[in-house]
Formats: sequence, C-alpha cells, structure tokens
Amino acid sequence: MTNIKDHRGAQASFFDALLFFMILGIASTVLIVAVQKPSGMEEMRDDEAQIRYTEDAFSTVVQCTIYNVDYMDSNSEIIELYNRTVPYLLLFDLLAREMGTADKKSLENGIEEHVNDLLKKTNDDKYYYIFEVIHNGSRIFDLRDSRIASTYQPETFTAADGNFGGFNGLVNDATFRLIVWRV
Amino acid sequence: MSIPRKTLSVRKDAVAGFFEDIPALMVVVIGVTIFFASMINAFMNYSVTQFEDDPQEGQKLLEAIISYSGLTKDGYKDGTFDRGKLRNLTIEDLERDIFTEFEYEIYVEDVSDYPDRENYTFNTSKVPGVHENVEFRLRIIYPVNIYTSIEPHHRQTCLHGAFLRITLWK
Repeated sequence: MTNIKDHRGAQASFFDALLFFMILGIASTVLIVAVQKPSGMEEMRDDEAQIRYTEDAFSTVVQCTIYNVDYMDSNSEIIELYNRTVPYLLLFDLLAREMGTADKKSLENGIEEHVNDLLKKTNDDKYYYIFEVIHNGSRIFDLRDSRIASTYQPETFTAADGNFGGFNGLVNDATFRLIVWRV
Repeated sequence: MSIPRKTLSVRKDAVAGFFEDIPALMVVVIGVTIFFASMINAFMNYSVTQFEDDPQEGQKLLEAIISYSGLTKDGYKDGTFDRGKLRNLTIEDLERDIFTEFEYEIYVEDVSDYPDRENYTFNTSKVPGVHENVEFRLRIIYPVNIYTSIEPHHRQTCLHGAFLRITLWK
C-alpha cells in the first residue's frame, strides 16, 4: 500500500506551505493589532457632543424671549404678550388653560406654535427633538420635531431639563425638558 | 520521436503527482487571502484615523466661538452673544484670538420675530461651492442667543433666538 509519508517531495511542499501560512498569519495579526479602528473613541466624542448640544439647546430656548405672541381669550378679545421668555409664555398658557380663560386652539396657534417655530429654526437637522412640559405628573405640552410621529418616543436619547414656576404661586413648578436624539 | 507523456500512472515520486500539491496550494491561497484582508482592513482604519481629527477641529472651533469673550455677553452663559460685539467684530479679531489651520465661515442668523433682527457673517475666504473639490468640509449648526438691549418700553431684556453656523474647510 502506498502511503503519503513515503513521498518526501510532497511532504516537504505541504510543510513549506504551512510555514508560509504561519508567517502570513503572524504578519496579519501584527497589522490588525497595530492599526486598530478608533470607533469606540469616535462614538464617545459623538455622545459628548450630543450631550453638550442638548444642554446648550435647552438653555438657549429657556432664556430666549419672543417678541410678540397673541391669542383670543374667552371674551373674544385679542391678548398680546410682548418680549416674554419661553417658560413665562408656556406657564401663562398653562394657567389660561387651567382657568379656562382662553380657547385651547387659540393658545396652541398663538403661543405653542411660536415656541415650536423657535425650536425648529435653531435645531441642527442631524438631531430630532421633543420639548415637553410636565406639570403635576402630566405632560401638558409636547412640542416636537415635525419629522417625527406624534406618538413616537425614542429608546435612546439625551435630555436636559429645568423647573420653572411663576405668577406668584398660581402655577406650581413645572418641569421643562428637551429630549434630543440623532437622526 | 514522440515526447513521453508523464501521466499519473508513470509518476514514481508521489501518489497523485500534481494533485498532491493541492492541499499546499490551498494553504497558501488561504494565507495570502487573510493577509490581504488584514492589509485592506488596516488601510481603512488608517484612513479613519487620519480624518477623525477634522470633526474634532470643528468641535474645538465651535467651543472657542461660543465662549469667546469678544462675542459673549458678560454675565450670561456661553453662546449668548452681545449684539454690540457682533456688530464690531472683524475677521481679523477672530483670526488673532482663535487659532485654527482651517479656512472657515461663521454665520449668525437671528431667527426671532423681532423687527430689529440682524444677521452676521465672518469668513477667512469665500466658502467653496459644493462642486468644488476641497480636501475636507464640515458644517455645524448650533443654537445661540443674541442679547440686544433692554427693551425701551417695558425695561425687559431681549434675548433673540438665533443659530450659529460654522463652515470649515481645507
């Protein structure tokens, strides 16, 4: 019976190939280890940038003043508000809703739309946003990016928030929160 | 005279002649394939490493601008620009105080509904068009405020909503 072990030529070429394979394997390992992809670091930088963006976008919005908003009260009179901050306007809106002194639709068009317009114009398109106000455990306002559905809630996001109250205690502190996530 | 053919039957030095080298050839091919794959992978990772500093440069420039004392309103958070400073600022001031090896344009757009809103542009040179071939290009949009004045009738501070757009290229 003929056995491969008896044929030295074939044996040598196979072992030469194995030796060649080992050398290439070592070279490949060295290459892979030496030039590692910095993906982890890049993601971390993106996350840090998003956190910073969220905090700055939130503080920009809450300190911003709006030149003029108006709405119709329950007596069909036009009420105009000049040069008020965003938290002031939304708390005013909340108070008017609770006291029933204004039409809800008029407040939506007159105040909330102005605030959402500001959010939209200052937002970087690479992020989606939801700006919400929570009062006594309920979400009173939900101003969101027009590119997302009205019920959508992201699974991962960054958020910045702050509490504001006013009108001499007529309105308890409400939590204003900006939620941001990447497109 | 015919040349004698070497067939499997007449080979004496191996069981299957050429076919005996197939395992060796397969080992070589696999080895070379792995090596080339690792070379391509290394090259792609190297390219990423080369360009990763560029977005970082954009972030650095952004942070330098939103906290630049030549622009920000005293006593307010970073990113609150003083309109008086915006009006007087020149690109020479920016180039002197904020260093970057890139060309850039800084554009501040007042998006409020105040009737006295103004926009501002500062650039080191004209922004290259989208079809122009540049080594690197980056655009950053960031929300900011513009402090204008104390509103004369109601004595209230006006902080306009605005965005800062930085275009960076090389």
